[in-house]
Amino acid sequence: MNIKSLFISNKIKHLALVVLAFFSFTYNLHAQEGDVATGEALFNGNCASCHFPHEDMTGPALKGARQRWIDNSTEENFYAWIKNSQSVIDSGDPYAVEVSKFDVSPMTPQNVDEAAVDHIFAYIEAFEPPVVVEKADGSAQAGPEESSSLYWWLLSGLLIIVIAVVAGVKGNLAALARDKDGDEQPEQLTVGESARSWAWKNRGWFGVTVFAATIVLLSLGMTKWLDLGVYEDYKPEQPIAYSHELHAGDLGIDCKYCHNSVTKSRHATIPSVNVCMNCHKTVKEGTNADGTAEIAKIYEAAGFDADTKTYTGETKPIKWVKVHNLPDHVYFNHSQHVVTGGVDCKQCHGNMKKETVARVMSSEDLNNVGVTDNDWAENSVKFTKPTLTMGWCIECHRQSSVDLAGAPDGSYYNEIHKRLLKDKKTYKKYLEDDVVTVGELGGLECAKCHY
Amino acid sequence: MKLKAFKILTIATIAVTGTLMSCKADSNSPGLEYMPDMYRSPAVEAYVDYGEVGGRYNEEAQSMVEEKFSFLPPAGTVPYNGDDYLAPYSHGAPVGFDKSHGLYGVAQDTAGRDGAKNDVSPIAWSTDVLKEGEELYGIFCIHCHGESGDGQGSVVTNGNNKFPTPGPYKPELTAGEIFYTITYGFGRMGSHASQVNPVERWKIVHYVEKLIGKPQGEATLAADDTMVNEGDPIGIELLEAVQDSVEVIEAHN
Repeated sequence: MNIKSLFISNKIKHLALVVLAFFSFTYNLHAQEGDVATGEALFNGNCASCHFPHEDMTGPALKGARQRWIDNSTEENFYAWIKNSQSVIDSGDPYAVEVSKFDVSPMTPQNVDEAAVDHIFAYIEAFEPPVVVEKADGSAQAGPEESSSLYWWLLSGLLIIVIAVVAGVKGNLAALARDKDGDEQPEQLTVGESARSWAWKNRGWFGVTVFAATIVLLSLGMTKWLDLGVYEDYKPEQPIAYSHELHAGDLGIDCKYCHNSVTKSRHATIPSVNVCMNCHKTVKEGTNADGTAEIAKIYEAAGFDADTKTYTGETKPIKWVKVHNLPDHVYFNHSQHVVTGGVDCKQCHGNMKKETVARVMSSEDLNNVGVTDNDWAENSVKFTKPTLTMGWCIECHRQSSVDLAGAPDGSYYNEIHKRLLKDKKTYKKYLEDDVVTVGELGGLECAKCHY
Repeated sequence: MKLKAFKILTIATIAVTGTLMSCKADSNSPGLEYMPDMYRSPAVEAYVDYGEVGGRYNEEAQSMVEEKFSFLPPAGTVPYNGDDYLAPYSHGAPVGFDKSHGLYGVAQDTAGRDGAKNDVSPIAWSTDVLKEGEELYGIFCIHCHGESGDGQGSVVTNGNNKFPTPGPYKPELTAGEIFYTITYGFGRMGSHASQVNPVERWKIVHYVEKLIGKPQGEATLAADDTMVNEGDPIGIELLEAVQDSVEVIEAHN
């Protein structure tokens, strides 16, 4: 028995040796094997807030860091640096001093043992940055469409010229023919006289044409007239080509993260540049080369030097173009609608998850949220009037209900509820359609918005 | 020359129709403004284009607005609606945060985050506060820190590896430290002081503490209830047991 067990243990020892030799060979001598999956968890928990495996961030790229330490210093110092970087700097190691100059903030001492470091570096060395797939760009379609309508105009213009030339030639030929035959030339009439006589001769269909043309012109004029002061589809170019589709759609950032004063103020506001920098201090590259150039504009405005990763303190304004304009004689308050009224952003601004820069959505777009594009639930109020016109506001005030019973004690709407409970007649009248609407509580009073 | 008149009429009709049709929306233009419709308030307002109005160019108002575009309000500005009723925060930013986090004009404190370790939330815990905290967390934190605080937010998971995970919340963080971090930022995280006011920050702190799994609110309230309201022997026994164990430990030392 003893001999047999000895034999087995010897066999295992041999096997272990072979395996060890194999690993030390493949791992280039120094690398202790670590588990990639364990390493990933440890990396995300301890290192990922300052380090990328493949590129520089607050700290340097960690790929090959172990080798760099071995080349320039020792492996002991490599472990010691992770546990407490200051102690290695204090020991006077020249490479440690060099590394400490990478960023203004020192490397935080990490509470990890050497086995954990091995796991982490197994993950880092195995890490491959994913290949970014560029999105197919749908914006290219706008170009040809526009130029094709231009071609139509050119073509019709050309046609008119051809008709005019042919008619002129035909007239001249007829005159020549009459001349040759010795016929009497018709009496010379002025343009006005000839027009009148021609119109009189063809008075039947000429009258119909003029009537039809008048109707068409009048209705066209009317449409244009009604469009005065309608801002639908206003989508001005912005100084930075920001994409709501990417940030709010793909990345899932809440509207209110950037437009944060929407709950506190009358304005939703375009965010100050420090909000952009919360992420873009790290994210230096866009999804394509254009995006990277746009991000560079943020750095210029924020006074951020991407090379040294420091703020210079010299900031510049970004001259955003305001999109949703209301005349000064209208008072509108975002916080009243969003906080008190509980209105969702998409009710008035549509599905911004599919837009690049801000646009005044048409009422059709607003009605289509949740119907043709089903990113979101349907809007509760449907519009018939153009966006940002008074009729549009009124439509919503007439339909939106106020939750009086659910208003917290002591609040404004709770007080209204108490008074209505005393004035049963009015309350009953309001409740004929089962809801108390904003309009019924004074949402249609002129002085609510115009004062 | 009957055709001459017809010719002129045709051309005129097509020209007029064409001109009208070509008035189609240019996305860069807000549309025709027949007369100034008070889009530009005489009191200068944010982000309003004060450029050309009725042929006149209001350069002064324009530059006044443009120079402040996308900037924070001046330091020390107090909101007039009184939401922000807490006393000024006594801890300064960590040293060097002007360069690393752009906090120019903010007082610095050598103690850094450690100085705020023992701060206690002035906003008492309640289920309502926790709910508000959760809502605010859903707006301001969730896309990086994730729904459960594990650092796997949508920006990290959908961001093509451009954005680092902040990692799960460290269990040893105190309420004061969390508040300090939101105020001035930490590492990659920037200062969120401009986005959430101190009251909102303390509410978020309550929710983050819940995510970390710290005994707070419900647990402490429940404990208080049993101790104070009931006054039952179990509570006293527990207290005695704790005192005994402390004595035992002291004796060992």
